[in-house]
Amino acid sequence: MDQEDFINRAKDKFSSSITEEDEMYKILDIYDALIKSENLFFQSIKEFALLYFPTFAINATLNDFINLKIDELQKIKDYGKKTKDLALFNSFLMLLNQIEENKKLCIKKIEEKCSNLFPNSSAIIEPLILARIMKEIGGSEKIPNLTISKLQAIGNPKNFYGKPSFGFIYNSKIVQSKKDKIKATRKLSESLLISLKVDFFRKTKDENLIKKLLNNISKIV
Amino acid sequence: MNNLIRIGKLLYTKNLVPGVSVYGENLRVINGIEYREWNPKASKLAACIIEGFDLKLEANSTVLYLGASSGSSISHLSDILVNGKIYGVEISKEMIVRLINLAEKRKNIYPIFDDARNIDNYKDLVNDSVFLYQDIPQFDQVDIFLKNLSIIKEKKGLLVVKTKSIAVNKKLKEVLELVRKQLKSVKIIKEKVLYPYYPDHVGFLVSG
Ligand SMILES: C[S@@+](CC[C@H](N)C(=O)[O-])C[C@H]1O[C@@H](n2cnc3c(N)ncnc32)[C@H](O)[C@@H]1O
Repeated sequence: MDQEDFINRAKDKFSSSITEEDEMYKILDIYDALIKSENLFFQSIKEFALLYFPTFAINATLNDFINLKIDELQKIKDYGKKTKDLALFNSFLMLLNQIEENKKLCIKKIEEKCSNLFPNSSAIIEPLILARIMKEIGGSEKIPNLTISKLQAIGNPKNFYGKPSFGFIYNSKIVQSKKDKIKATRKLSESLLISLKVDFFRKTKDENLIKKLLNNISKIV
Repeated sequence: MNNLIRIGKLLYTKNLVPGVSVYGENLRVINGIEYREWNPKASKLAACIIEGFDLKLEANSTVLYLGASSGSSISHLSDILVNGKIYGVEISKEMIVRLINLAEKRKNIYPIFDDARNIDNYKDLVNDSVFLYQDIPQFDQVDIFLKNLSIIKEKKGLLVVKTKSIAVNKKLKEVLELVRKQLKSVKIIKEKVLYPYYPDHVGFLVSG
């Protein structure tokens, strides 16, 4: 085999090795990059807006800027610089809106892929959080080695072992809706471990299992 | 070794593709010839050479390289083995695309996208190799090395062991004893901790 054959062989193997899971983690990276960029961009737009609309801009949130339209801009009475570069400002707002749209696209794709890959687990915890957990542990191939304590510590920046955890699971909607969040984290981790193992071995949705696992958590106040 | 010079604590290899820096390394013209800086702080293979491991490679040698990554170290071997070949085995999808890209610019790099544990997938393709180099931080790194060494004619090779991947809580001395035991079927020509560059990595130059 000459060098070109080696290269072609590696290329073929690469293209057939890319999975839906690979795609999901890359989209998640892009989503996180968009959040960071959006925040950075928002901060500087805000500084720019302060020159023209100080009263408005000083208290404006990211959402206020996203929802702002050019005709509303023209109506804002404020004490800033009188001649404003509204065209430029509007162009910035449009880009901010595009970032927002792209974030939504990412979330939709992540949810879709996560529900395909982990149909049972995605019914137990928000797919976005599940995707973060799976990426952090190094992909679905690591599921067989997962334990409850590992699972509930994932995403905890301090990762203190054995202590109550404040990781991704703690931050899920369902845990946040409970009073005893530590207990709920533990219970949800238990349920998630079961559903993940089922998803690992056969990727079919089992409504009965989901109901049972959700029931476990709903008992907690 | 051919096309390799040392100046102080740095190595330089004669650039096979003049004008091109592969991974951001400095280019330097010495006596009218362009060289690429090869820093032992950024490459375990360079650290091994600085620490006196003599690989005895010729310009036409063929090397099997396990844990090729994006190919930064391989690119220097590619400068050295101008008439030889480097088979680079790499398991990671992120890295293999970079290695393929490098191979398209350097004709002596042969990328292999595989797990170095699965030698049956590639052993017939690389059986003209005369030297094995391995830098794979895995728990079973010595097993991987020995398996692949069986492909190499005179069983010559350099294994870079990451001691922490074998055991986190064991002392360096204990891990080394373990590795020596595992390597008992081959002759260890030189063994050295890659201090100060990689204090938890140890080089083992072996032959059959
Ligand atoms: C420390 S890096 C090697 C750096 C490289 N020698 C250099 O200096 O440019 C180790 C590489 O080994 C790869 N690797 C890990 N396990 C492997 C395996 N079982 N088979 C092949 N490659 C593996 C990793 O993906 C990683 O790219």
